[in-house]
Amino acid sequence: MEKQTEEKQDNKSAFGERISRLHEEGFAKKLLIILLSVFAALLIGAVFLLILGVDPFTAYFYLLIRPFRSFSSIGELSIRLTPILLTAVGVSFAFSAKLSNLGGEGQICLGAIGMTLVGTSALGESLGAFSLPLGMAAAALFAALWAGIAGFVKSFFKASEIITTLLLNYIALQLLSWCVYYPLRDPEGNIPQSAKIAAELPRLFEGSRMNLGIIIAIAAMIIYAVVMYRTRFGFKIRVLGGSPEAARYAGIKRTRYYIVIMCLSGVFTGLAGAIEVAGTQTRLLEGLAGSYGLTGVVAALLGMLDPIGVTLSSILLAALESGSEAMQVKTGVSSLFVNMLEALIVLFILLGMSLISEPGKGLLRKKSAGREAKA
Amino acid sequence: MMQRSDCINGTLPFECSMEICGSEMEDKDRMQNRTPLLELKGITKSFGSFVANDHIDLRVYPGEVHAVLGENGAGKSTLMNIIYGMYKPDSGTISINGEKVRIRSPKDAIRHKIGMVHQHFMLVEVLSAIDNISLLEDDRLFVPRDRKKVKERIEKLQQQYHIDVDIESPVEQLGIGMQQKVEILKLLYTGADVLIFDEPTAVLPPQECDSLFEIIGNLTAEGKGVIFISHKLDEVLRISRRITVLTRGRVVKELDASEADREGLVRLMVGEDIDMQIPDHREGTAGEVVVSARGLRARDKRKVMTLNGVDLDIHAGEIVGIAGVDGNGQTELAETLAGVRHAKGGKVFIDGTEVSTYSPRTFVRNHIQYVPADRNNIGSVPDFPLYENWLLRNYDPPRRGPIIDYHKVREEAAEAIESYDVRTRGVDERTAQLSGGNLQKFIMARSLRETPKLLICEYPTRGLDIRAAMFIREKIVEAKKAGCGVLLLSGDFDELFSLSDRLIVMYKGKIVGERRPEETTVREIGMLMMGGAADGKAD
Repeated sequence: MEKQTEEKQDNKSAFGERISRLHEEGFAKKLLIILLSVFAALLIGAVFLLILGVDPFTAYFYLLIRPFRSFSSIGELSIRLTPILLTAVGVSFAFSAKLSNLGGEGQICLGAIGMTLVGTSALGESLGAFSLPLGMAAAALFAALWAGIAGFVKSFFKASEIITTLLLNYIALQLLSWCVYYPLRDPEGNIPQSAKIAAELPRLFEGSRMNLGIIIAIAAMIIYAVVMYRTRFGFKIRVLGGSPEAARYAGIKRTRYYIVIMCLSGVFTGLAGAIEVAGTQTRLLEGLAGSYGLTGVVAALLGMLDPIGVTLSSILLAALESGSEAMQVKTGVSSLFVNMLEALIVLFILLGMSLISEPGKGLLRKKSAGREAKA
Repeated sequence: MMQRSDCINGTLPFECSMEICGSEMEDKDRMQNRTPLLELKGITKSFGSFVANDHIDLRVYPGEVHAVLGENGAGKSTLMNIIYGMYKPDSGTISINGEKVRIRSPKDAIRHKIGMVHQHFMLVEVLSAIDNISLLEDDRLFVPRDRKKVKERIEKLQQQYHIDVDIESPVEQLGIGMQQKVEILKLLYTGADVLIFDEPTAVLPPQECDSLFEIIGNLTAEGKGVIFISHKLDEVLRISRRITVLTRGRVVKELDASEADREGLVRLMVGEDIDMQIPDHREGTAGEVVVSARGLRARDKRKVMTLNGVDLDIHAGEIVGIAGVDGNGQTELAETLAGVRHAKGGKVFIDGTEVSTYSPRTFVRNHIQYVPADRNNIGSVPDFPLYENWLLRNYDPPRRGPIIDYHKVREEAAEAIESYDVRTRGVDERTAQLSGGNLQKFIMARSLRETPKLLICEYPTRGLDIRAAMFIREKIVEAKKAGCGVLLLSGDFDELFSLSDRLIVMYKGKIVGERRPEETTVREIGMLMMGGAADGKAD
C-alpha cells in the first residue's frame, strides 16, 4: 500500500518536471523555432511546387496526411519509422554527450551484415525463429564495435568523431557491397544480393506490413528515456555533454565514456540494420541503409534529444519519406523533393538556434575574466 | 587588523597623496562652480516593477576619480549602461561639460567622449593592439588604413600616459593586465575624457592592480575624469577622491574619500552593521593528518609542469591557506588533491594510504570535496536544473535499484537551498540563472552535504558581494570546526589571514614559505609570492 502511494508521488513529480521544463523560457523558444522552421520549409517548398505547376495542398496532402489515412498506409509508415527511430535513439545517446555520431549509415550496414550472417548460416537455419534474437545480438555487436572505432580514435588520438564516423560510412558501404557480391551472395540468384534469411520478424496485423520491429524501436526509445533521465549512467552522459570541465570535476573519465557511449550508440543503429533485413527486406542487398543514417540524425536534433520530441520528429520524417512515393505517383513531383524539405527544416532550425544562442561566440569573442577564460 | 592594513599601504609603489591631500583645493574648485565633465541628474530606470536606478545624481569633475560603490545588484551596472548609451533612462538628464545631451548608443557615448573599460574586453584576439585600434579609425570598406599614422598616435598616447604595452603582438598573446591596457589605449585614442572602469581589478592579479592604478593616476593628472566601479573598499579608498555609495538603486551617500573609512562604507553599502570579523576559531588543536602529498608534480592545461614537487600535510580541523600569484601551481595542487588532475610524479596519501591520482572515484568516495574557482562551468553544468547539479560529484545518490530517486534528490536539494539561503525560484531553475553568490552558496551546500574529510576551496569568494563572501567564510570555519581539513586558495589577503591556521606561499610550483598568520605580515607574504627571500629582500 505504502509503496503504491510512493510510486504515485513519483509519477506526479516526473510529470511536474516535464511541465516545468515546458514552461521554461528556453524550451518554449526552441519549440517555437522548430515549429516555425517546419512551417517555413513547407512554405518555401510550396513555391517550388507552384513553379512545377503542382497544387501545393494536393502535394502536401499526399506527403503529410495520406500516410496516416489507412491501415495499410500506417503499416508502410511504421516500417519506415522503425529504422529512423532506432537510428535516432542511437545517435541521441552520442549527441547527448556532444559526440556527433554521423555514422548511422555505416552502422546500419554492419548491423545488416551481422543479421544476414546469422540468418543465412547453417546455425541460423537450424534455429528457425530463434535465429532472430541471435542475429540481432550479432548486429548490435558488429555495429557497436564499428562505432566504437570512432570512439577509440577520439579518446586516444583526438580525431574528430565527425570525420571518422563519416569516413567509416564509406568503408561500411563498400564492405556491404563486397558481401553481397562475394561471400554472402545468393548462390541461386544472379542479382547481387544474399539469400533469404532463415526467419522473418512476425507481422503484427493482417493486411499491413507493420512488424515486430516497431515494438522493438518503441522499447528502445523507452530504454533511452529511462537510461538518460533516470540513471547515473545517463546523468554522466549528460554532464559530459553539458560541460566537459564539469565532468572532469565530477570524476567522469572522458576517454572511457566516449568509447562506451559510441558503442552504445552503435548497438541501436545496428539494430536498425538488423530489423531492416529481418522485417522488411528479408535479405541483404545494396543500398539497404538508404538515407536512414542521416535521417536519424535529423530526427534526433529536430527532437532536441528529448524522448518525446525525437519520437514526434521521427514520425514526421517517416511520414515524409513514405508519403513521397505516393506524391510522386499522384502528382509527378520527384520523391527527392522530400530531401529538400528536410534540408530546409534543418537550415531554418540552425538559423533560429543561432539567433537565440548567447551572443559573443563570433569573431569578437567575449573574453571572460581570469581563470574562466583559460578554462 | 590595523597593522595589517598599514602593511597593505606599505607595499604600494604608487602613493596616493595627491588625491587625499587635495581635499581643501577641491572644495575651492566646487565653490568656483567648475563645470563637471559629466553630470547626471535624477536618473531613473526601472525594469517592470523593479526600480534599478532611482533618481541618481552623479558628477565627475576633470582630474578626479569618482568611485561608485555598491553591492551586486545595487544598480551600478545599470547606471553605467545608461551613461554608455546601452539603456535609455526613464527620466533624468545627462550633461556633458554643462550641456544637456542624449546618449542613444555606445557610438553616441564615444562621440561625447565617454569611454568604458568593460569587464569583458572588447578586442579581436588575433589582431594586434594597433589593428584593434585602427578598426575604430574608419568603417568604410575599401579605404586603406594608414597603419603608420595610427601607430604614431598610439605611441604618443603611450608616452603621455606612461602606458607600457606591446602593441605589435596579437592581443591573445598578452596577459589580462596588458589587454586591459590596450582597452584603455583604445578609449584614449577615441579622445575619451570620461573613462568608466567597470570593476577593473576583478580580473587582475594583485601586482598588476598597482600598475593600473598608476595609469589611472596619470589619466587624472592629465585632466581626465574617471568613474571607478568596484566593491573592493581598499581600492576605492586608495585611488578615488569622491565616493558615491549606491544601495538598492539609490544614492545613499556621496562623500569625500578623505572623510570615509572602511567600516563606515560597509555600513552604507549593506545598510546595517554586519560583522566583518570572523570570530576567533584558532583554539582547538588540529587532528590527524587526513591528506598528504609527497614530492607532488603536475602539469597544467598547456602541459607545462607548473607543480614541481610539493610536500604538504593537511590535518583534520585546520585551514591551510595557500597564497601565490596566479599560475604558480596552486590550481594544479588543488586539482591534483581533489583527484581531477593526474599527478606526473610524487605521491598522494589519504588517511595514510597511498592512492592513485588516476582514479577520481577514490577521491570522491573518500569525501574530498572541491569548490572550484569557475563555478559556472566546472562547479556546475549551466544547463542543468539545480536538483540535477545537486548530484554532481556525488557517487552515491539516493536510488531504488539502478534508478535514481529524483523525488528524494529534489527534496535534498530543496532543503539545502533553504538552509543555505540560496535565492532562487526553486530546484527546477536552470543553474545558469543563479547569481554568482547564490551559485557559490549552492555549491558550498553540496560540498558540505556530508562533512567532508577535506574541503578544497579555490578562490571561493572571488567576485562575490560582502554578504555572500562572509557567508561562505563562515561556512568554511564551521566545516573546520566540525573536523574537516580545509585547503584554501585565495587572492584576498584579508581572507587568508583571518581564516588560515597556517599560510603557505607557493612560487614556481614549489612551497617557498610557511607562516602562522598571527606571526607574519601581508608585506612578508607578498615578498614571498614574488619569489623574494623571507627577510624582505627581493632576489
